[in-house]
Amino acid sequence: MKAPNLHLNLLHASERQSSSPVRLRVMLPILALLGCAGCLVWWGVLAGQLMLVKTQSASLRQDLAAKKAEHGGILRQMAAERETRSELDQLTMYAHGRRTYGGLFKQLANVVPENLQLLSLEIPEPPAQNLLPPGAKPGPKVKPLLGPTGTVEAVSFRILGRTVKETPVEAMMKALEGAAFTNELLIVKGVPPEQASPRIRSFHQDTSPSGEGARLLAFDIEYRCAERRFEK
Amino acid sequence: MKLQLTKTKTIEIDFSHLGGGTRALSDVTGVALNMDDVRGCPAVRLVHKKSGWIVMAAGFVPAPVDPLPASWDEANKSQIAWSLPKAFQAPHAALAIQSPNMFTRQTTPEVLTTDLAQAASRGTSAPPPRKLGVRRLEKKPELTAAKSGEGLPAKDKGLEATPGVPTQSNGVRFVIQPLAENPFVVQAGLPEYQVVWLSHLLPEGRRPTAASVQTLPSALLASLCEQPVFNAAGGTAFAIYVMRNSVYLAGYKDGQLILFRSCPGVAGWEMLREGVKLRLGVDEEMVDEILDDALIDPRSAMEPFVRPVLQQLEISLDYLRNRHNLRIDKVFIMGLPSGARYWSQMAEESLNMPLIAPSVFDGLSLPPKDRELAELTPSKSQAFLAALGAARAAMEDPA
Repeated sequence: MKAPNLHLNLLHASERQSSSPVRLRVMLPILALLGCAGCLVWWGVLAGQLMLVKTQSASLRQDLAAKKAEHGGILRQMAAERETRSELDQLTMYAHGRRTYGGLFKQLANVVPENLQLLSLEIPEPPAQNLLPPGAKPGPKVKPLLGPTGTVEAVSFRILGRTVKETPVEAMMKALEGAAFTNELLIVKGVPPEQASPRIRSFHQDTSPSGEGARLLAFDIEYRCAERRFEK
Repeated sequence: MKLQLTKTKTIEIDFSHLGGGTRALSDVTGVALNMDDVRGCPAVRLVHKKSGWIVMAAGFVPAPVDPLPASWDEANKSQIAWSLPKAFQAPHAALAIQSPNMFTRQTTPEVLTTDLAQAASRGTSAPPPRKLGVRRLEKKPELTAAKSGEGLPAKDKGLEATPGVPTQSNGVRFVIQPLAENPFVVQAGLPEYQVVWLSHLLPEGRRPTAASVQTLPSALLASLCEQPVFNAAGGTAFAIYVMRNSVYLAGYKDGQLILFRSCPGVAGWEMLREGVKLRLGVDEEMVDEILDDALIDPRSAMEPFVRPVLQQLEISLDYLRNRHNLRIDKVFIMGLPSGARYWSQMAEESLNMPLIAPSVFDGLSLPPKDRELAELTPSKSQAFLAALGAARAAMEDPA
């Protein structure tokens, strides 16, 4: 037998009333409790998040402290590396600034006339450079810079000697203008005497006490050489 | 779930869409209203448990202070505050109402559609309720659409009622249920103001509240459901419901309603009793004794009232036999306060078919402590027929 379908209900579902509706005096405490529970959960979530952030912050701080020590080491190593590199650069610059005069002296023997005596061959010291940092005054606490501040250094070559007359000197000077010496000695002519090369600093009667000194002439000739450049 | 904000303000939160099954009502008090009974309104509290159907209480409860309203004005003026005795305070109530404005009939969807269209063309509507605090009942959109929906199918015009869903038309609330025999439907209706009045008769927040409002004839239909003889016959039977002023015939096939009709031109048992009183010259107190005893044969006095009913019964049985090839040999006679034995004898004489007149509580468990209820005779129990039927029908629907 099928289930009967004999209910002809004239009431709409919306018209049906409840014999036990949830009343306001029941609802309010429940809503208040639910609200409190919601707040507690919310605060719990916030506290949890705060704790998590604090833990992460402490962990990051520890990590940062460890890294700071490592970073100090790295900075020290970088500084040392820079120091070493600058020293190497300095050395490289010095190496590049090195001038060799062996060839000059070797050839010089060939061009010196017989009646000419060389007393001195001199490459004068360049004037001392200011190695203090820019604007610093000299003092015991001021540390000078490692290298020269200027990268170009003028170099000269002085030939001092004696002779009996002018001709050998001229011959030697003529010979020094030759191609064998152009690498070391600069020949500059047609300019004021101070800027010319060679420049005859003195040519006079030799007054040094010697047997035949009264007849000898002393000369001092200065040649400018190629500049010494401290560059890489 | 309903939340009561104030005494009159209630909001409902519907959780049905969240899933979960719906349970049928299991504890319902059926009350028959406006039955013109001096004892009050018959009421039956019916409980459904796994062990079966239990009648927790049955009796007469005081009628509401105000009578059934005859208009919106009366409904609005009515003092609605009715409560039932403690024994009947089930969570839900099913109200069966006898009203001069009610109707219950077997019809077809075509006739229904025609009626709706006619009602729409008349275009009259009932005034809205005021005092009841009920929302204004708007005219149904389908009725408005019907005016301009000529040429459209009835479904598109909105002139088709959905089975089991109350529909309002021209100030009348009605509901239909399909019969076992297609395309017929049974339709029951009441004026809108009476339905609204009944829906508020039992106030919210107190047990019980109205879960169902049924017309008296429709409430009778489910009263047979738990009858052992009815169930033994597989739900295929016929029933004659003899009420105070009317007689209804109902045919069942496999427990489903297949035929329903009201006996035309036939009065109920009140006129029969009047006839017996006049014919035999007895007073009111003697009528029941004569109709239940065998000392005096009242059949000659009963015949003018019973014969038309038996003729209608014969016509109905012939209809079922010829139309549906349905031979029914179990015919119940229900609702009679007395004289069922003579009805049966007369049926046997004319139709060769005795009538069964059981107690309405047959097949139901009665509380052992209630001796009065247990000792109720089948005739006396008939007063509770509508109340029991209303409760039983309401328990088909989910809570």
